[in-house]
Amino acid sequence: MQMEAIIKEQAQRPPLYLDCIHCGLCLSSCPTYRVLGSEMDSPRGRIYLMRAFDEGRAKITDSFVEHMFRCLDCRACETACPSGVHFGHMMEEMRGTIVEERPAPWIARIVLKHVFPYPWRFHLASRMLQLYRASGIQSFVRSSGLLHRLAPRMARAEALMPDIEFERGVTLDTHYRAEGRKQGTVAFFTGCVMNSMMGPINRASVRLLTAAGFDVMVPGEQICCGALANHAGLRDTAKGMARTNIAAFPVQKLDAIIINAAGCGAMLKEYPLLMEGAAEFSSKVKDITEFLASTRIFERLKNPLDQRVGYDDPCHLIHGQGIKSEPRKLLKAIPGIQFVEIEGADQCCGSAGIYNITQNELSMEILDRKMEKIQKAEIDVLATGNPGCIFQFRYGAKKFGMKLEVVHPVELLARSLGDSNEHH
Amino acid sequence: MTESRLERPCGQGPSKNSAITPLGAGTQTFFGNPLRRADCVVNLGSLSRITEYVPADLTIHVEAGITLEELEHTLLQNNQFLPLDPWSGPAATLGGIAAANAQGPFRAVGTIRDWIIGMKVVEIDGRISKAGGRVVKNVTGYDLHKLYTGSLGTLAIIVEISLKLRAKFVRTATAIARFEDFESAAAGIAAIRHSAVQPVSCEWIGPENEVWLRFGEDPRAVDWQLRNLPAAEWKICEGPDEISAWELLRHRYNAFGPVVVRAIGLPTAMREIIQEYRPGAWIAHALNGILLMQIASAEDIGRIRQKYRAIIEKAPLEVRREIPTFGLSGAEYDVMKRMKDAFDPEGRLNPGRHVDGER
Amino acid sequence: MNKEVIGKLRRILPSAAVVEDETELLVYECDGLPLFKNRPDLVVFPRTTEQVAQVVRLANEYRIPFLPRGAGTGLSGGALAVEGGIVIELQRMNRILSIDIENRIAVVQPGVVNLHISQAAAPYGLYYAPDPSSQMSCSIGGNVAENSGGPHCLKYGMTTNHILAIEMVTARGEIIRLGNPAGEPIGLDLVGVIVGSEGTFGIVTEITVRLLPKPQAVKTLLAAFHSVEECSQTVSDVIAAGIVPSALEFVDAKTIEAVEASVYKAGYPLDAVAALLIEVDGFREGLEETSNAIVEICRRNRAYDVRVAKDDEERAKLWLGRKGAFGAMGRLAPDMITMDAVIPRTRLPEVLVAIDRMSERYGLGVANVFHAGDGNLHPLILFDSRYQDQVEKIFGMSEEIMKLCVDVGGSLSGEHGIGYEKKDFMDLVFTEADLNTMMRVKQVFNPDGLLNPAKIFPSRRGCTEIGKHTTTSTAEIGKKVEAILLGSPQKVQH
Repeated sequence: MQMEAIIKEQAQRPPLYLDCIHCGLCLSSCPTYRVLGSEMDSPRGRIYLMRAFDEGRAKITDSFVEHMFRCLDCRACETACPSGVHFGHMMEEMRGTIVEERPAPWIARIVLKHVFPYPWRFHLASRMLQLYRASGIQSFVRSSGLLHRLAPRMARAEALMPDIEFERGVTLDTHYRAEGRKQGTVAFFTGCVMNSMMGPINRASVRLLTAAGFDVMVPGEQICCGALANHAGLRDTAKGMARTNIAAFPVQKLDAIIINAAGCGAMLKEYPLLMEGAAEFSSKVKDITEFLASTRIFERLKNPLDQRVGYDDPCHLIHGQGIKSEPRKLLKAIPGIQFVEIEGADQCCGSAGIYNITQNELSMEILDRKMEKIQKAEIDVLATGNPGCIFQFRYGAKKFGMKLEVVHPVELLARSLGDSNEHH
Repeated sequence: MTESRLERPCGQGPSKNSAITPLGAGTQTFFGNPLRRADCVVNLGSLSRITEYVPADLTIHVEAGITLEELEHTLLQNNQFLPLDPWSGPAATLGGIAAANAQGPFRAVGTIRDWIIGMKVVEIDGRISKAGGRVVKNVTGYDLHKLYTGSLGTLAIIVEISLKLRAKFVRTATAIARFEDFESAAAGIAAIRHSAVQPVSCEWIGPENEVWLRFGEDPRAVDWQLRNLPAAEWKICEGPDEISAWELLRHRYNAFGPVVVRAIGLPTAMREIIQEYRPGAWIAHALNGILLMQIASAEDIGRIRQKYRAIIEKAPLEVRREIPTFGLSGAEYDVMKRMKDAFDPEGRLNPGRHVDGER
Repeated sequence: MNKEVIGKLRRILPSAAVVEDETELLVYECDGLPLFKNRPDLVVFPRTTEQVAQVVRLANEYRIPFLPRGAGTGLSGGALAVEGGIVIELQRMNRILSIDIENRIAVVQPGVVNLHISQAAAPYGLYYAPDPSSQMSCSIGGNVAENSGGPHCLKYGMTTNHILAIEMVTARGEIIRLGNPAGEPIGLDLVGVIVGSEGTFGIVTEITVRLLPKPQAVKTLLAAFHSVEECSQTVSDVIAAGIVPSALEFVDAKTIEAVEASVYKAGYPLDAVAALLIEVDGFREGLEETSNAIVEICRRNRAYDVRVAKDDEERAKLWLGRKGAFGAMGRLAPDMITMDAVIPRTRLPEVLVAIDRMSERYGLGVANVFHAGDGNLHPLILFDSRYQDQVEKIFGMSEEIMKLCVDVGGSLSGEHGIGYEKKDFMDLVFTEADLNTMMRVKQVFNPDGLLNPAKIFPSRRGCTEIGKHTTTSTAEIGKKVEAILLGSPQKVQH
């Protein structure tokens, strides 16, 4: 049944892997290849394996699965690829196939092997589990029998996490009014993590949007974007979530749909790859920095911030959405700020969704390299626009004993907001 | 080529055990380990034609016996040249320059090995083989011409050489300064290293404490460099003056002796080497880490070799009998010796002159 | 693979650094030339020279073939495990060991990415000159093996001109150091012959490279032409004018189409039949004039659009387009083979026309993007490896291109190497005697033929056939030498 569907799909368009001509220009852009130096942990090698599977030369073995899931899905390779290979999409499809062919046990094995024995990872996992409930993986995880085993220890883990903020974000079904003359209307996509664990970021985002002159509506029916489910190979779950979200937003009445989490933004923009009828919705999706950079927000940045600030590109912003200059332009516009370019800012921090749990050692090695470069930059504040990355860097700063504040760019922008001087 | 073009100093012609010595203009006979035998000298001086020259391709193909002078003369007609000026002078043959890897101060890109794109050799069993090709860029097959270059005719006899060329510098100029003492000359050299100028020759000459810089290429770039030299009283030579100045330096170097070594170290080590071994006279290619030193006694060679690699540039026969020219040892020697054996298992090509004379 | 060998390897290396899983080995069955495939038996990932040496000694003990591999971006099948055996993957030896600013040298491990050397040296105003198009991924060890080129070797020379010293594990597992930081050969120039020996002489485990000061100024021009002839005439005229550009690159319409559709979109003119990317660098003084002279030559050859990049950003864009060109061919066809041949510069127009005709005759698309300044052609033949007839045509066409280039006085490879791909074409340029001599040199380094077997030499002349150096009667030797030296000049001709 499923094989038939695959065959049918293949017949309709040439396989995506044919776009890859094995030149290898992607290699050094890949965070796992940079650490491991092994071809099967490179974009080219993974595509080679996907092709070999498709041609019947490789089977979905343990090692096959391992290499597919070791990928951070950061898409740096897409930015490097001259042939425009849709790597992220292929990887998601491949993972979908893996999940279909080999249900559940693999994730249980990974988690049991790599999470259970380590307290810190366990903390992280429990925190992330909160996310899973919203993300739709929950039922899947439960079916693996994993939750059952984790549950008794989960409460304890929660208690050990004093540094996670649980402030409320923005309220659903609310309409925030523009300050000064209204420029238009946007909808805000709250994201599950942002609104539950990083509330202040969402509040800052809405504040900036209204300060820039936009009415902001927050549709109540919206749910998780589905990215984590999609990256994990749960295609159907992701499709269902996309459908709900598309229905939740009155697209035609909106100038834009604003999202401040890079991972969610990339997903929302790529709904059309997942299903039909998503094009109009996706065309309206804008990252908060992408959108703000084209507004009059600049004239509102009045309060000086006398700090050395660095910026790290979230993979799903720079590689997934091609957004690089806008956040920099906004940050540099803050009076008094000393903007520092960090070496290798476009390289993955190793967070990558649940990666820092499933592939902890590798994730930590990638993070170590990153933190060394951040240390070299001698900054007070690091800004980055994705929740996973923010968590990862906060952990990194702690691990390295650095005095470093890690924030979302909107938090800095909001701090710099002067009072509105428009009174008409 | 006819027989009349070939000199044959050995009356008998080669016989089964004859040791064969290829000879060009004979400008490098003082270099290398002493020959153990020389039954038959094969004089390549008359093998001196240009077999093909396509100026538009910037390549030339010559027989090994052509002299540098003849070659440059032909090239000049097309405004091209080979940026080399071996101490042995323009009378040296290309085959000889290659075989000895002979070099001088001119190092726009490198030495002869950087200009050779292909070679044809005659091996000891009489067969002809070639390596490289006739085009300026080529990675087809092993670069055996690199191996033949500097092998002093002990692997095979070089009979033809293909070279790449370059357009003649539109302008050249030489700046010469005489410094007060050793330290100020050393400081001058360091200042040049730290400056933006890029001379094609940078010679530090002692004990006179002179620094010679040659610039070539675009006239405006040459002018700019002359204007931006580190502070010193520079005398600028151009045209015929420049040519005769370098000619003079060549004679000065050739008067070094009787024992001259080429010490090899990092450019920053030149000062230290000179101070430590106190040569009577020296010329350092200061940006290349090559130091030609006239030393007082043969014992100094051993002392230098304790810390640095050094080649005996020239020395009386009795010194060269005692002390190997290259100072090879260990695994490096083993590989080179095996190479010699692979080409000439009976040791008949220039016996003893190169690696086989090192022990 | 013998369990005993695997067990012993796991005593040399961490367990995870010895790969025997079939799925994992699959990705090592080819390099940047996937036309040829063979799965190795094992892949190992050493981190130290000593580990490399131990692996090599073990392979010798069990008579297992072995070969080094870098990033696997090579285009001649040089990292193909023709006879299976052990692939020694050097990508984990990727540290830059030192940069000596004063003396302008860097000491690096073989797995360091080419571009990373220049990036590391950039704060000191220095860079590593050879810049193969794959420089963002290819490793310096691979560059040394292949004697890699790149656009800028027109002015600055190939890899061989920038390698000063090496540490190498010999074919029998001995660690030797050759060369010196001054790059001055002492005795035989072994470094010179090892660079470009395509990993058949030893496994290079540490490399001392020359760094150059970054030129004060750079000017990059893009000239568009309506005909290939005018474009190639411009190449000849620039060279003939005595200008030494740092790069002189040719791109044709097909290439432009592919590049402009890619992330490396460079603003190449879509209506051009051919275009030249020309760069001059050096001192700021005089560069403007040189650049103007080139513009003048382009115009004289009826270039309809000549643009000088106005800033570094535009310059970088023009170059990214050029360097991404090979990879971008995936947009035009599922598979592509990058041919590599050199011809005398003056023969460019006729050879390009002939290749164009060939493309029509075979019914296979060809894109041309190459280093015109040194006559280094790269016809990119487009095909679909899922169709066997196309694969066969590829072999026919590439042989014909090779013959054509050799006939006009050219050679088989300018920078990619012979590897596995072109070994059977070696007869086109070398005689039996030439190849025998090369084989003898190979035997000095690689006496048992276990290191990287079945490369470079035509297949009929397997490693086992070389035998000992053949000595004819000594009298005959003398006679021959005499005969040659006294013989007619024709005998000394090619």
